[in-house]
Amino acid sequence: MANNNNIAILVIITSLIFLIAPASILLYIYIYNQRKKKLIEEKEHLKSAFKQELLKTQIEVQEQTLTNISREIHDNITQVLSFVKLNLGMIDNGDAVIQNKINESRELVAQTINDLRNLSKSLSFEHIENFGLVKTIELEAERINNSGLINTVISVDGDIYPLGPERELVLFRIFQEALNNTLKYSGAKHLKIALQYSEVLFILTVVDDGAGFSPRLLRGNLGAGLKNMKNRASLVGATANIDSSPGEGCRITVTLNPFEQQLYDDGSPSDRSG
Amino acid sequence: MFKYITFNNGAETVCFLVAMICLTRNVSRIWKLLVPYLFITCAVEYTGVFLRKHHQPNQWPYNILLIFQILIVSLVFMNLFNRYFKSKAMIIGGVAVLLLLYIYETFNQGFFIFYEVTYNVMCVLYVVYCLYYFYLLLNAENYVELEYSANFWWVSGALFFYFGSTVINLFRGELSPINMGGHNVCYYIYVILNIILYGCWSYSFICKQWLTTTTSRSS
Repeated sequence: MANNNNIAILVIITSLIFLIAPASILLYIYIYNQRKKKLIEEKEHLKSAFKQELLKTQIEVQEQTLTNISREIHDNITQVLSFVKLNLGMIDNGDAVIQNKINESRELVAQTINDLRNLSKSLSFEHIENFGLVKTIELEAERINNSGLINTVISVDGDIYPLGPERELVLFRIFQEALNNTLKYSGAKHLKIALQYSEVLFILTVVDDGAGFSPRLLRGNLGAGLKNMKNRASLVGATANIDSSPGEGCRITVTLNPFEQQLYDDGSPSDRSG
Repeated sequence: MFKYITFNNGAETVCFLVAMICLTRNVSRIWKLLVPYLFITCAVEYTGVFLRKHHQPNQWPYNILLIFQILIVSLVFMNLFNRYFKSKAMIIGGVAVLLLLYIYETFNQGFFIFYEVTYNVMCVLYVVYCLYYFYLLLNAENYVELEYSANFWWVSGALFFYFGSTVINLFRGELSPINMGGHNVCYYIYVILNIILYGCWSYSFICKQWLTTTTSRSS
């Protein structure tokens, strides 16, 4: 009996020794693999952070450029045109036909000044910061309606709350990109813009009734613009969904959780002082 | 009927049934080969038990199994290595050496005595393959979810079994005289090794069929 017990112990010990060696190897592999996973995740995180930083810099440079153009239009070109308008108003040679032409020209110059001022406002970060997203989009829609290129309808649901100047700027630039795509490619007659403010989500929807496109076209130049929208959206923690098919128009939906920590919260898009 | 069922052939039968369920669809041909291989293993094991119960020499069926073990297990290793490098030459070299030993032992000692040298060399070779596979796995750029990796569990089972077998082969002289409950002590160790091997393989087949989509994630 005692002999049998000794044998049983021997078998158990031998088996354990046989098991411990490969088990140790497997344990080592497991630990090494977990470390590798952590390293890969860190690498991914660094890559993502770098990409984010690059995108942020690109947007800052773009905003700086737009602000400079805006300032140039406002301070220089419109001023010159104002002088032109003033000079035209001072001409009086008594000829009714010529006077008529001069008055028409003055009106055209006045209209151009007005258009340029509106354009200057839509390019400027300060304008969005001062007026807020809703008002800026409304002004942009009005400007487009006045141009007669397309009929835009804007609707706002819920109680409007500020999303923060950086996020509002990025959302406005996404809207401008969507608008630009619609005017450039779709041939749409109508454009619906909806801003929904709920307690947990902000949703911006831009819908046109244009030609639409198939998803494979996303790889072309149009795709670059749409991809840009998605990148911009991700920069502020929003998601941009683009839904379209040939002949069905296009719907762009940007969804943002206003209470989520924003990735761009430490960034200032440009030299705001002008 | 039940008197022919042992821990060894019980584990093999369960593994064969799991393989039947898991490896009949959506897997590569090499993995599908494991189904007939396990069937042959079961058949050999039941034959061995039957012969032992009837006091007949039962080593020759294991010699038949050995040749399938050399060919099919090597093929699976080749399949696993091919993810990392072209292993055809290495595997064919290994198979050639084992087959030469097999032929040598057939002529040297006859068919009715177990081909111990071939088996020992095969065990050592497969342990080396297993360790080399793990080395490649660790050096690969991709991260693998080991919990759900069919390849990893298959190799783990093989490592446990062939490492244990190698050690038993080395200490067979010391272990053979020890008997317990009508069996040699090596038998009990083989039972444990078989349960680990076929347990790991069964889980590997389950992973292959249901849990593995793409085991690696790109870095």
